[in-house]
Amino acid sequence: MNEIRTRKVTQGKILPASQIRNFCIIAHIDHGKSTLADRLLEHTGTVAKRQMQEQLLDDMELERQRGITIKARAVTMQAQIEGQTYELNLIDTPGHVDFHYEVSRSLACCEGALLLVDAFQGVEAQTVANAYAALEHDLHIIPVINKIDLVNQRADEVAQEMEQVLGLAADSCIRVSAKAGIGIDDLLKAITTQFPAPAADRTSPLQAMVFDSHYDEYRGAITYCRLLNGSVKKGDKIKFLRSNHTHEVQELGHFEPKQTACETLQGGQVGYLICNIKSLDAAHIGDTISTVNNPAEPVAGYDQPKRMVYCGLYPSDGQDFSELRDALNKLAINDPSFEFEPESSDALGFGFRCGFLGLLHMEIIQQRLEGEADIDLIQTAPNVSYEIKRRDGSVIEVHKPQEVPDSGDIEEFRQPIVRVNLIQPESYVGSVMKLCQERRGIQQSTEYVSATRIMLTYDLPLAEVIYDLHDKIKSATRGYGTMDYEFQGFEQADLVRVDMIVNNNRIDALSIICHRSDAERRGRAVAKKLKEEISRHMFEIAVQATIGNRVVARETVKAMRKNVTAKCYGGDISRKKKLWAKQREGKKRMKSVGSVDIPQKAFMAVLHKGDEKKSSN
Amino acid sequence: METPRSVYVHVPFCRHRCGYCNFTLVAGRDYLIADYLKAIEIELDKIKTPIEVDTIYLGGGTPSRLPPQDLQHLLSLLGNRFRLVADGEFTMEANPDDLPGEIESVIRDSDINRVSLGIQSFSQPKLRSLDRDHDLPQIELAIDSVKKIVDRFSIDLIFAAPHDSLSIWEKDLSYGIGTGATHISTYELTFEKGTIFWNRKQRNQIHAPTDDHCVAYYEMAIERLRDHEYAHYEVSSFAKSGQRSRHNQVYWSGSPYLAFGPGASGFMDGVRYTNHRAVKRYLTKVLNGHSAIEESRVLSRREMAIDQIVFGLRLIEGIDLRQFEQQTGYQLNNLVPTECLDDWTEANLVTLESDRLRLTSRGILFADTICSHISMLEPPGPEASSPSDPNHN
Ligand SMILES: Nc1nc2c(ncn2[C@@H]2O[C@H](COP(=O)(O)OP(=O)(O)OP(=O)(O)O)[C@@H](O)[C@H]2O)c(=O)[nH]1
Ligand code: SF4
Ligand SMILES: [Mg+2]
Repeated sequence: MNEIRTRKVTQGKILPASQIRNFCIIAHIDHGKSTLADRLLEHTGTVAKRQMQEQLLDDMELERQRGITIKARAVTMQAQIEGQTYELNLIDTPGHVDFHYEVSRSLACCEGALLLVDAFQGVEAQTVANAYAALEHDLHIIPVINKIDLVNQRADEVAQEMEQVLGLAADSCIRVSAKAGIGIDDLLKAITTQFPAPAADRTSPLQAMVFDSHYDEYRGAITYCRLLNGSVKKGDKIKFLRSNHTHEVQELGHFEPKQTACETLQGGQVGYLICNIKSLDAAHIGDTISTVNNPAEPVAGYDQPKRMVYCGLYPSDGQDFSELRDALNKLAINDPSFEFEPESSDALGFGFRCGFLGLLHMEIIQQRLEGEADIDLIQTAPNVSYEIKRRDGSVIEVHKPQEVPDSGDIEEFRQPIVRVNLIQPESYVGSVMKLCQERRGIQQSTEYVSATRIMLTYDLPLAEVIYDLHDKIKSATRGYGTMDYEFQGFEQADLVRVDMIVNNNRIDALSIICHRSDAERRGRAVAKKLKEEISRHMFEIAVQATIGNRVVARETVKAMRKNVTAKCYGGDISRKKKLWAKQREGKKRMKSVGSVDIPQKAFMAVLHKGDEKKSSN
Repeated sequence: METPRSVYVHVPFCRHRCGYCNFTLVAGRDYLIADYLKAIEIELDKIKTPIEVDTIYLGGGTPSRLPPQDLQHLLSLLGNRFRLVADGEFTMEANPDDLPGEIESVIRDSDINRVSLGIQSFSQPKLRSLDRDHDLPQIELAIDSVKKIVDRFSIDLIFAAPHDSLSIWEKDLSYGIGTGATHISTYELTFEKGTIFWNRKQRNQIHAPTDDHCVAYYEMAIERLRDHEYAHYEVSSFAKSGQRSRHNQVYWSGSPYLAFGPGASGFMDGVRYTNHRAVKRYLTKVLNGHSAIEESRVLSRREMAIDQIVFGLRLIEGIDLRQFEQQTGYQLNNLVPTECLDDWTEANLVTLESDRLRLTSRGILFADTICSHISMLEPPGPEASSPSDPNHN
């Protein structure tokens, strides 16, 4: 994106707050947020048409690879609308449930939200969740029906759904096609007339909210903020009120969408500050920036993002622990929603327990570690966190199965429960309900979204939701079902820890926590999978699953009978050595436990659930 | 330059490529022979004054596929540079379908005194499954022919082929013994990447036999051949008394040897080198005045010593440790931790007796496990190169 020439907002004169509009685009995944952002950039002349590319703001390599937005992106545009000049600050947000946290941060910087809905898909789970989040932040919502160019669009019905589920008047929906560029000018007009201008007092002391940051190797932290009041210019001494750090502003500006420097930022605007901050600890997201003398009041920060899943990340044999730590540090700088702390495992040695917003988030972090940092990882299977009340009355939070105390020591074992909204056509309701009941869901409500689509609400154990419920729902509804979930709290359940024993060594990293009635089936499935994953050794290997002292499953990896290829010519000397070197490389992706080499993949074996539940097809 | 006493020449021509074969060769492209001979001549021109050697090995591909006058030409190119000592060994590989014929007299009039016949099997269905062209009558003719021209001959036999069985293998062995071969090599069929067999296996059209089966084949070979005075002297080689392949011993012992032709590997002055494997590329390079070598690697003294252990262990008699120490300047336990040796002894994989380290009969079955382990051992302690060591990598 570096070379895109933009019409500089900064060349114009400073606009009063009344000519500024701050808004975000929110929607269910894939309803066209990023594409709409493209059109807005184009119609305002911020990015010339010939420099346009699809989903321009999705500029992370992973975003382009996966075709989804992962990180919210802010961009400043200047537009002439009905003879008036406006500065529009737009934030494109991700739609995937894992990144809902990004959405809520963006909401706090805006006065308005474009709530996009696909003219064919209609209102989906994430549409509802995002709409409620916007209402909670007191944002003005403009409902937008996108993709009206689709032949099978059903915009009229979708407008009815918006009214029925979200209480947004059907006739207030603006109809557009982000792809074909239909209705964009009307939408721009609505943005300027319907969204309120920011209420900012530019004469009072600086008060700016940090809503994001990223780390540049050369320039240090780049802080994204929304100025509530006051103003800031180059050379100003500023203070981060919560962390209590003081810095001098070296550069400030807007994203247009390229980072473009300017002289000053004023109340009501959105922009970035660079202050030579070499540690992101000093530039916390959610902090308030003010002046050193006579500082303003700090504004309410953000809630900590809730980590939903945890897994262990370990360097594979032959890889350095400190390399992994450095790589994690570097990633955490640009992604504060993921956390990690050192841990150790008997089986895997020293590594880290990492917390993620969800499975997609976990997958992305892992991919970035392997891709960007070139690190060979051993990852343990993901699990949720638990609360355990011990006999002595103390309550501990447990992020990994191996931390679970012996059952005699447990008074109450509690697991996280989420409230899940599921929207699907009426004809699939039966199979979705079955899926939820099998996962010990408790139904909360049923509601018609439209004449033919129904929203079910269930309370379900998070552990039952994150691993595969989404996939199962998709296949049970031929892709029409969508879901969203929200953390509710911890509740007591009849849970046990199942341990895996390989040649008499308990492999702590393979323990699982599950419902007592599932324990035997899970234990058998994991033992079987382990047997497949562990290659033959020179000796026989016993794989067992146990609950307490009771063995619930047993498998045997038979001993290897031979490893000799009877060939050796002159040229084979180097060839053979290469082969051995390759085998050795392969071993790097293993962990030796006792004398058994366990391949990386085996640590994911615990996700195997055994006889798949019948209902899913 | 060290004085090499052995020479390998690779002749990369075959009628077609057998389904299991991933050797360096061109199939059905005999029109490249003229260029090949020119390239070999250019390579050989490195040798300015004739060298006296103990062994020469003409391997392939199929050397016997060269038309007699081309073979003659190749032999005279070699003869001008290498003098075989009086009791030297000069082996040529041949396919049964190339004998008898005009080639007999070329061989008889040359220094070639040993022929290695690629028979693979005596069973018709097995030969067909291996994509081989010859049949039993052809084999018999070839053997008669070979016996007329040389005293020493070796045959290659393959086991664990698709549709193979222990009874077919038993017949192959007794037939082989019956030929009066002075040397027999037995190979397990392996599925190498890039071969037709490999692809078929990926598609589940053929199945590799189980390890248990392979062990049974192998053990049958050892037993039968031993009963008929073929000593098992290397993992896959058996010989009548005094009939071991001296040339192969050179590879295993770490002595220097020269190599010519596409894909050929040599070892000189502590450098292991391999010529370009793609035949066309080899020809283009050499004919345009570039080096034939595709890759080479300088071995440290330690690596050379390790190689000697690793390849010495493939010999059934194992390694004479006193001799090893004298030759390499290393003691075994400087290279291989005593704990490893103890573990392996306990597991009945190796024995260490009267200054000899060798694989047990169980150990032979795990030769690759042990050898790969040894060859990948990192140098201990201070010898380990640190990142600050500029010579590292
Ligand atoms: N036909 C049609 N397709 C559209 C329209 N707008 C977007 N799309 C397509 O919908 C898909 C998703 O578009 P994106 O803009 O990436 O959607 P998003 O909402 O940003 O997705 P996330 O950020 O991953 O939540 C892409 O294939 C777009 O080309 C439209 O108006 N009409
Ligand atoms: S004849 Fe020998 S070298 Fe030629 S293709 Fe067949 S197996 Fe390979
Ligand atoms: Mg997007």
